[in-house]
Amino acid sequence: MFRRPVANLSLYLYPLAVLWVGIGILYCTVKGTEQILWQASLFSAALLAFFLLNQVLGYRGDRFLLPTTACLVVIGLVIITRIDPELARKQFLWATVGLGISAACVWGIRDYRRLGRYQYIWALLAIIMLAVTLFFGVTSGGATSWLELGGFRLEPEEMVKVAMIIFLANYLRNNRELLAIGTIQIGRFSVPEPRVLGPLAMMVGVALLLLAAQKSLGTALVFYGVALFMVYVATQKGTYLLLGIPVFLATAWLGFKIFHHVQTRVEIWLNPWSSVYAQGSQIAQSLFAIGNGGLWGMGLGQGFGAVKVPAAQTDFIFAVIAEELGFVGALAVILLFVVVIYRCFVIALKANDEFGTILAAGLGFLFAFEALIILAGVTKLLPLTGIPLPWVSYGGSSMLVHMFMLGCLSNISHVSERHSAPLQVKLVKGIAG
Amino acid sequence: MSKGIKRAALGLTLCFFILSGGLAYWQIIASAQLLAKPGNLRSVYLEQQIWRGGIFDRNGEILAKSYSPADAAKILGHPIEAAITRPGDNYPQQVVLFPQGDAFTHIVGTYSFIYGRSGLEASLNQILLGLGPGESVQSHAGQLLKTQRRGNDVVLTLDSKIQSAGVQAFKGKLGAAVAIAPKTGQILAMISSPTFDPNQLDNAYSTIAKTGNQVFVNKAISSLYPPGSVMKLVTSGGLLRSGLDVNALYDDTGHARVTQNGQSRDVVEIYKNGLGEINFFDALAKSSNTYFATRSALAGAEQFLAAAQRFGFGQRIPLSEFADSNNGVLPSSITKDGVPNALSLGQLMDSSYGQGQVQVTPLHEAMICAAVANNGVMMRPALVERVLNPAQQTIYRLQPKVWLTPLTPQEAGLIRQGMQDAVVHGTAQGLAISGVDLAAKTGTAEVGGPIKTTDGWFIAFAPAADPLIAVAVVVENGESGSGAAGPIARDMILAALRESR
Repeated sequence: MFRRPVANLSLYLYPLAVLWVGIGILYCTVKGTEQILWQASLFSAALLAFFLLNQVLGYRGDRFLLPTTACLVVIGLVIITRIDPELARKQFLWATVGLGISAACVWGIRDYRRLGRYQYIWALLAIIMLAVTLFFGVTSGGATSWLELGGFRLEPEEMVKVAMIIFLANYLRNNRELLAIGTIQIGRFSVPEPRVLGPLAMMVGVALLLLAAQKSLGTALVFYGVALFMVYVATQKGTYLLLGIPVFLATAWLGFKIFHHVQTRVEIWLNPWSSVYAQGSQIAQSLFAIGNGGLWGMGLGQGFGAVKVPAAQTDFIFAVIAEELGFVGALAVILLFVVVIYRCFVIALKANDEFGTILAAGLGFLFAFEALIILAGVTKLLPLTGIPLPWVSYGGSSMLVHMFMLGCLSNISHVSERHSAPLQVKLVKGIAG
Repeated sequence: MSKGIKRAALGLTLCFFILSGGLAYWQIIASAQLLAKPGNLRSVYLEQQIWRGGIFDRNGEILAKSYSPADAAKILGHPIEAAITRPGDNYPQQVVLFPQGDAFTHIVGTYSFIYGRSGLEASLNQILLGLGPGESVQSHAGQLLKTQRRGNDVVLTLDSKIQSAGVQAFKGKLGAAVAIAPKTGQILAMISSPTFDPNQLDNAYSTIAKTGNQVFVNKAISSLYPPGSVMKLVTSGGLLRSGLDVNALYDDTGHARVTQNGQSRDVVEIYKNGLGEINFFDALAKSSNTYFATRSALAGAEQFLAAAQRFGFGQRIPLSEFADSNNGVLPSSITKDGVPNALSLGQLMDSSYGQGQVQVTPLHEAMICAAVANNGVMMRPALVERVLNPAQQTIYRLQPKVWLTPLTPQEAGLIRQGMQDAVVHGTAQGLAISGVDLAAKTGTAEVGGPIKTTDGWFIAFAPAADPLIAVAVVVENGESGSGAAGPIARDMILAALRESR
């Protein structure tokens, strides 16, 4: 039962060390950190409990996924504490609950394949959630992406991400052969039948339209990229990717023409430093913070960006990290993301059914696109489209949903390893039967 | 499916690699450049460790000086608002105040914890902090700043008496004015209207911003105006170089038509019946458009364009404190392309009296006027007269330098004669100063756009024989130059002459 307890525990010491060193420094320098100590203890206990649970129940899946993600979570928690201890109290709560959801996902679902049973329910759920948000949602920062329910602010598009990816994984598992080969000949190209292509195109199209209507362009971009890459991986046809680029460019151009705020975004992106007296744009403030970090950073609690950059705790949290922890700290965050995404693909490759492979790869793509789009926006490599940085940015919906996805991935990994282990053959037969 | 996943993983890793490269660029390569951007307040906070030097006018009047927050609050009569609200921060540690109120706002600049630095406060920042070239506050953040460091004091060429006289006269009018000492190129005054009190920037930003009319722009260097008839100084330069007979008479009938190479163009005078038989001096004094348009057409576009080039059109004026392309000195131009190689007949004739696409900055117009005053030599403009280190030793002193020589002394003398005539019996008659030999030129420029308006220009220097001051004033919507802009220039010249006595 207890496989490699010391080696496994040592992995969990990294996030715990980051958390307590960070909280310790802030405790000495920033007022209002005292109230966080209890929350931080609770979170630490929850993390250790998760570890123990895995040890006791014999978790056989990926050893690195959870500790690495936990590192990202604690970096986010420390930085949010530094920005606003009041907000951090909530975020610690969400992170702790998130660990619970993740654990429930690993041990409660038992087999991830159950998730794939009702594909159109997931699709319908996603569309309904988006439509409800569009009509009854609250507008904030130009986007209509929040639902208000009894004092809580929910961001349904986060949940839609899960629904979309599960739907796509299941749909692609069922139709990948047909999509890959194509049955209708047009000149030299073979194209899949509309009957096969229809649900995919409709689902992706409707979701993108709804998101565009909500002006959640960042999320729309993430959806589009994830869907495209999932189709590519499932079909192994580069044509889908190649076709996706002109379609993307045309859509982007259309968006630029239709939406005034898209034009403003692009203008700001091209020249963020227009005025002397106006303090410049969000992106200028973000770059000021990033630039000030230099190689080693100003030190935790010493930067100005936490006060000066708008939306420092959500979309621009990376700018605060870069200023206070420097290039070294910011690069560490990027590398942690690379490791998490890499583990997703390893899980995908090891999964012993196609649904698991496509689902794990899809989640990997999701994390990659989320991180890339906001990080490229914050560093002015691309025009800014505000989305949270997964696990790091402040926000309950995002945290819970991403913790759920983490649980799904662990579950895929665990189930796959258990099935492939020779000693467990009987058990596999039992389940399969 | 594994091949696709591996390829996608490789592609995404590459994306993260590029992202890290971008991050390295901003954090390591462009770091210092970002710190220097206007609107980046980080350097303002770091600089608080150094006691900032003051800015003084040529007579030692304080234009900007650092005070402790307590003293500053006492002087201003209200508490200093800290831009950083986080508890435990001890900012600000010093506040820069501007005792001259709204008189020097655009040139000396502003210094704020919320809106950063502008004007000379921005461009002389390194000197005011006592940092050498290449030294940055950031690189010293550790040890050096722990010892109480002081910055350098800067003495400007500006004269607060001339500046105040101009600002007073400008009240209620929009536009800009520049005064220059013709022999040295020292800038004596630089005014942009509307203005605001830099001491109130943090407090009353929204009210100030609502003033509109480009209240934050230093119009003297960063706004381009059509010069109208004050352009005739430059046109004269071209005509005289082409061998114009200044005494030859021309019959100004109030209308003229020129036909050249199949092109044909009309010029209409404001005076319906024309000025009659006039020579060069009358034409300049009474500002005949037909004279300059027809003579320029005869002399050819090359002569006019060469003169414009000699006067510095199309070139960046070497005022090193405002060399930045953002909010710096804009170059004057004959057409949208600066100084082109050729002009159509119509363009040439319009340009000869400062319409068409001709655009100048008030600074450049003052320099053109000063060049005529200084026997045809245009000096390099300067704002910093001296720099004193904390021990009050002079570490920099201004040396006058020639920039361009647009006219020969003879040519300059002829134009000066026409400008003196303008005061005696020409368009600037009403502005004569008794006992002072004044040389002047008026201008009234039509401004294009949905609603046609006119800008009034007045350029002048005095005393004509041994000039101490050359002034250029432009008043937006100023109707005629002599009416709106003339009195402002006159007040500034009077202030200068009063002082020299």
